[in-house]
Amino acid sequence: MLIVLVSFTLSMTQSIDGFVFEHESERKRFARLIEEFRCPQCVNTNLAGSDAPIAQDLRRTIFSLMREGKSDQEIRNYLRERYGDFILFKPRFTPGTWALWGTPIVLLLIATWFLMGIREKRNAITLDLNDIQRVKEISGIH
Amino acid sequence: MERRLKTRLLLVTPLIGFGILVFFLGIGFRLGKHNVHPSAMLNDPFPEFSSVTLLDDEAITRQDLIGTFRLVNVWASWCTACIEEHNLLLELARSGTISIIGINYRDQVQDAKMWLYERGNPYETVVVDAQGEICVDLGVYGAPESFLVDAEGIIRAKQVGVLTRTAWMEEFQPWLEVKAE
Amino acid sequence: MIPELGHFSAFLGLMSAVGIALFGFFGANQHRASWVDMSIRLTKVQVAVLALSFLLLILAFLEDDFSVLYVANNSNTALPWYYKIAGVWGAHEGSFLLWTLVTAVWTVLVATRARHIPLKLHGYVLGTLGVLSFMFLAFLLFSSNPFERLVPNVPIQGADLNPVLQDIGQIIHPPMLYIGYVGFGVTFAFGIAALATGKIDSAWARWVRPWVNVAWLFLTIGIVLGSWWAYYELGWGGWWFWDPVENASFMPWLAGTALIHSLSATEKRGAFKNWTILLTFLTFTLVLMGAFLVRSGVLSSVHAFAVDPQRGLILLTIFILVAGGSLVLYAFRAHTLNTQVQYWGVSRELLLLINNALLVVALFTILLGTLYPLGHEWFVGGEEKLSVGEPYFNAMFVPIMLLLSFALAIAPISRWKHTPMRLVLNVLIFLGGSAVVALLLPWILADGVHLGVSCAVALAIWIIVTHAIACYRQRKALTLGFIGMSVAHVGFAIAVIGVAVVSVYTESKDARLEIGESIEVSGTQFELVSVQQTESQNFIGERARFDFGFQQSLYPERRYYPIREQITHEAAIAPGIFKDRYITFAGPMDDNTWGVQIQNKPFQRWIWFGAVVAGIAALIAMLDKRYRRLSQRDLETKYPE
Repeated sequence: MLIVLVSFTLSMTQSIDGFVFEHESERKRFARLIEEFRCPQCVNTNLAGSDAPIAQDLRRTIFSLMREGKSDQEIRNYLRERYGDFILFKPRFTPGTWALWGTPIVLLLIATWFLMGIREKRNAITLDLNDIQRVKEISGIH
Repeated sequence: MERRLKTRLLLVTPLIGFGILVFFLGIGFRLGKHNVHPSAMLNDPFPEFSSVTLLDDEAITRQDLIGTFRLVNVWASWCTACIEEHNLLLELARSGTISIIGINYRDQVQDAKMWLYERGNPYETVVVDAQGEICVDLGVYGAPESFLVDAEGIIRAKQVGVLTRTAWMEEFQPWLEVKAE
Repeated sequence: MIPELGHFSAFLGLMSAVGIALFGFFGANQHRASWVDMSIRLTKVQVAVLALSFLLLILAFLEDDFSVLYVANNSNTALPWYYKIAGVWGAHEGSFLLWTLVTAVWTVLVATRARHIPLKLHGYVLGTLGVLSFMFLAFLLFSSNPFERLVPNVPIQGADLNPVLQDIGQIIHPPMLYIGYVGFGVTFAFGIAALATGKIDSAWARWVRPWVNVAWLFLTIGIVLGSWWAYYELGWGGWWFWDPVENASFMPWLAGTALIHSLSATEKRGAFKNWTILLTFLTFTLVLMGAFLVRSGVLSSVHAFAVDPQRGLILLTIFILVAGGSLVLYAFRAHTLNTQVQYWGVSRELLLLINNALLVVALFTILLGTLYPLGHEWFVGGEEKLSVGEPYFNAMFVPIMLLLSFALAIAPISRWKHTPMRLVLNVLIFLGGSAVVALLLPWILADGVHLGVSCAVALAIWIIVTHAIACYRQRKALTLGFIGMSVAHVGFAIAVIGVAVVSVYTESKDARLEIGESIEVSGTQFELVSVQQTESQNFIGERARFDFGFQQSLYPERRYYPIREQITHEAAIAPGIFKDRYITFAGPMDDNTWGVQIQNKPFQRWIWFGAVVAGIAALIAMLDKRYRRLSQRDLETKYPE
């Protein structure tokens, strides 16, 4: 919620559906799932944070799919078949997203390698150029 | 010498990174102008459904749509943007260009009937989708939204939001010409 | 007349910017004190004319002068006076005028408060700031003029300010953020000046550090305010969304944080000079990129300003000129600053490098996640769009922050050059103790054990303990700099605890209640006592009363604004040190019941409290004696020009 909001076509408002859950774990699973999907009609809001009609429908759909005993993955697939990858806030691991998931790890490896390199160099070179200069000056060699 | 080259390379790296960044911002800038919604359902069969019609409360299923090209239009009486495309729909219906099926999305039956009465009815039939189930199956973003369904019941074109004349001419009309040939 | 005067005033600001830049650069280049003095004088002129311009726009808002397009679009006669003023920065044009004014204020401060630095450096810094100011003002005047008239059809009523913006948050959040953003323009100018003079040493670092601290303080406060505002205003208890625009403000913050750390090594050891310079550029580059993203409509966001491609193009050009230009300068000049500094083992230098590496990796990950959908769309074609959101950012960001926390805990006992292993092993012992406390936490919260939360909390407690010990050991020779560092790190730890606990242990229940019914959330009964109709000038709604605990009541509200056909949920919050109770009211459901969501959010306040503590720490560190004393001495002995 940073910079000023102006083109606020659909307000991000909160969602209350009054679903009745049998277990606490079911409630938590539902809460987690509706945060994973994008509200298709809204701007950058997940299903949990939108009151758009389609968001309400999708929440109800997810709820009934859960009731039918569908797994998380099946629910994701169900929505993806209808709305495309666009609806998944957590992109699938596909050739198109390798760079997305892989780059941070590669960056961490590069950073580690870089830090190790620096340490080795410091260990190996006990005399740097200034020291050599000083030794030369002290011993009178030019 | 080699060491100097390495240092030089290291100093130029940020500039190269910056170049890549600008490239992506630039293409983002160009893409931003024609923001299209992905059409996951394109070339997929229209989903199965069973509901009732708005005006005479008769049972209707997917079977009833098959057989000819149809324009399936999602609308509601509460949808202000739907008014914008209404004239185009009326025109298409009256000229007999295409048969239009309405999907009345999350609406009160009385309000919907009143709306059609006041503004004219372009629809051959209106399917009631009070709970939004058909629309979720169709991958609808919200009302209004339009689909072109061919004689085999395959979705051929799709417009999210108001169906403009341009969108009709560019995305929908060509399919009808193909049929005519 | 008044709007024209404002426009003209801004134009004078543009002219002074030209003067500031020319006199600054040539004064530095030719080493002429009188020219640099001229530049200094012009900064005062500039701040005066821009302040006048800004005041005149405020006046247009207060007088409801709807002949000004910008006023007509963002104000209304019914608006209270303070929201009229806040409306000045409620949209693109006015907020950018504020941005240029903030730039002028920073420039005049650098001009007058940094007279002790060498003439050459001072001139180049002012020259750079003048160029930035010029670009911003040119953009303002030629494509975003807030004084544009709406004649001859002057409306009798304005379009009103978005109800979401009618809030104390809108009054203070954007100015704080801009002060922070543009403050990094000052450090950017110092970076450019260092490359121009070819001189970067401990003294240079000491001159820059206070400026970085102030900019960072304001950016931190700005981000915290935004998060807190979203928390109570949007009505569902979210406090961070990884929205592109949020990311746009968070990336410079990460870069600025890295810069603060890198500067400490540059000051104390003369190390990482090139890297420090690069970070001053990177931070401001990210600020400009953020401005481009927010104001051009490249990324869709709830926060984005109205879209205008021409503006986007100009901002992209400014971005390329400023950021690209600085990096070209870097590529050609930076090697002259190269130095060799020795350190080995777990030295403070190494820890600072680890900190910088992790912050920069985090930053690039966020950048990648933010821009990836654009790149993907371009490569694959518009048919297959992709979304990158919260689950991705959390999965990437959280582990990096845990690694960072680990390095952070060792920081206070580390020494420059080399830290004896004995000291490192000593603090490792405390990690065990912290882990035990962290594992007790689930019992206190009466909930299941969550490994991630326990790890985070253990590390956070460990950080607090090691800093306390380090401060105690150094109690005889404690400097404000060291205290500032410790307090900042403790603030970070507090925020880590808050984030970890509230993310996992929040309990939320939706219910449909009849009057008199109650629901239990986290061991507390909440009773719906009554519902009242509410009405005001521009909205109608219902207000519920909930009783809970020992005679406590909360009054959440649902409002409907007919003019904009917008529904807002005014959540009711009972804040507490250890938990927030958060009630959202959804109004009537179909069957004589009322929809409600009740949340128990443990440790929510700790997130913002920790960040504010860190901000205050930046202020403490800035007051360290050495920044004043040494600058005086530098003036007399080091640079007798």
